[in-house]
Amino acid sequence: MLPRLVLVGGAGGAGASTCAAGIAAAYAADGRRVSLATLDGCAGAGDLVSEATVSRLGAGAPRPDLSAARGAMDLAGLDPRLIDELGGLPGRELVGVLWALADAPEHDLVVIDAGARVVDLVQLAGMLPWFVQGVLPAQRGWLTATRPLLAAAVGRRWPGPDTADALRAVYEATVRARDRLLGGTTATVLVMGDDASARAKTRWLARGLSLHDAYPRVVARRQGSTFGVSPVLPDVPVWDLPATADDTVQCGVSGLPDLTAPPDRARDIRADGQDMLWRMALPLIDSQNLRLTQEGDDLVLEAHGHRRLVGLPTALRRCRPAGALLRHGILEVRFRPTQQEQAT
Amino acid sequence: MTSGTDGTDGTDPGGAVAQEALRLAEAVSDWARSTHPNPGDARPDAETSRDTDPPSAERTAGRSCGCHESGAVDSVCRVCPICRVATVVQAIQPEALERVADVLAMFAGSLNAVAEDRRAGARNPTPSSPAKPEHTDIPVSGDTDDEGGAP
Repeated sequence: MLPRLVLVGGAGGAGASTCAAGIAAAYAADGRRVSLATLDGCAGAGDLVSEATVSRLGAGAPRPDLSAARGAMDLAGLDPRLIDELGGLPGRELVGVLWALADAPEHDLVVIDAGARVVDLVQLAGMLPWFVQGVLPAQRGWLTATRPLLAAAVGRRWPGPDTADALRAVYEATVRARDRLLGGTTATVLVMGDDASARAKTRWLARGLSLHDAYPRVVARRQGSTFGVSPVLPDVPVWDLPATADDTVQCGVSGLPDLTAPPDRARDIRADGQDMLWRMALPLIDSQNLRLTQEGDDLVLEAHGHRRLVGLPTALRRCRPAGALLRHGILEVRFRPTQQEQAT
Repeated sequence: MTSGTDGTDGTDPGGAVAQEALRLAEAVSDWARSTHPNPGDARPDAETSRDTDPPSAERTAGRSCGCHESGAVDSVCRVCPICRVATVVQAIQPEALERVADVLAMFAGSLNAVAEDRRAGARNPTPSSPAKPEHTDIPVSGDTDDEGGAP
């Protein structure tokens, strides 16, 4: 299956923007409609490829209407400007890219130049629906049922169906963005620099991507790179970027690495006697550095400074975790039905 | 107050707190009526005047509560503690309302402190709130070499 999204990351200065621009230009030259998004406001991939052949993702898209959120803040006695200032904090670019991704044309190939923030982007994509779902109940029905005095006091000034609808639309947009980015038709390319710490930085990013189901499909490096011959990531092919004198990547689709087959993102539930085994791919992470916690209906994975929260499948929510085994890049978490569940 | 209502005998203290809250609402309502004679009076003895001139109480209560939307009759609305408090809240001047809010916040803070003290002092501490998610560490075994590779 052809990739619907190519996510390009790499440590600062490694050449991720150059690589992203080259991939976008190659697919565009092959006749595909390509949209490009960049997180780097200065000298990003957008500056390296013609807008005539590769459109900019989210350019001209309407900004989300925040008037309902401002009204809610005002009602709560908080300064409505907080909403506007929140939109100016670092990280807004990540949200902006996800927001644009949610409404990206279905058949376009999207190339994202995420640079050093590639892990932040996939982490946010996974977490945003969780956050928005957390505030969804804060609507009039919930307030009336749980805080009747407050609901009666605020009367009809409390944000009504319009706000609930707006929140629901935001939630659906976050789900669309997450599914597009992490849905299985994404190829992640990690670009490795040429400095002394390049290997360590690349592996650190790869571990974060592994934790978030976006393990690299390819490691790219500049031709003539001096890093050693041993593969930086096990079982991941290396692509020598065909760079030109002006430091751009120019190649046809035939010159690109194989980005078509999505990586194996095994995640399934298997029965093992009375127990259930939840399996997920977790390459490049070892058991000593993995901390696993169940918090309510969520599983929290922490490794090498990265953190991910995964919602448990419904079938496992009435079970208790009985241990986990991480072997050959596959994590198996054993769940044991509670006595009450066994009785039924 | 007996031990059966304050929760010291193991019963749920929530009921006692709710009763106290209702009493507080009644007290605020009485105070508001004595301070501001214009707000609507939901007491049965105000029936006579309501016949000729519908008081603002009904109107404000109708706006702020959901009784009229659910088809409830006015008499229910008049005895409903929620509607009565809402009526008072709608009628009070904003400045006075801010003072009431301050008092209520202080009261709520005190209740929280008392509840915390009693919880800490209880011989058998109550289980954690159901809203707080359960936290379970899961032991992980297996490869100690991260070169296990992709699956």
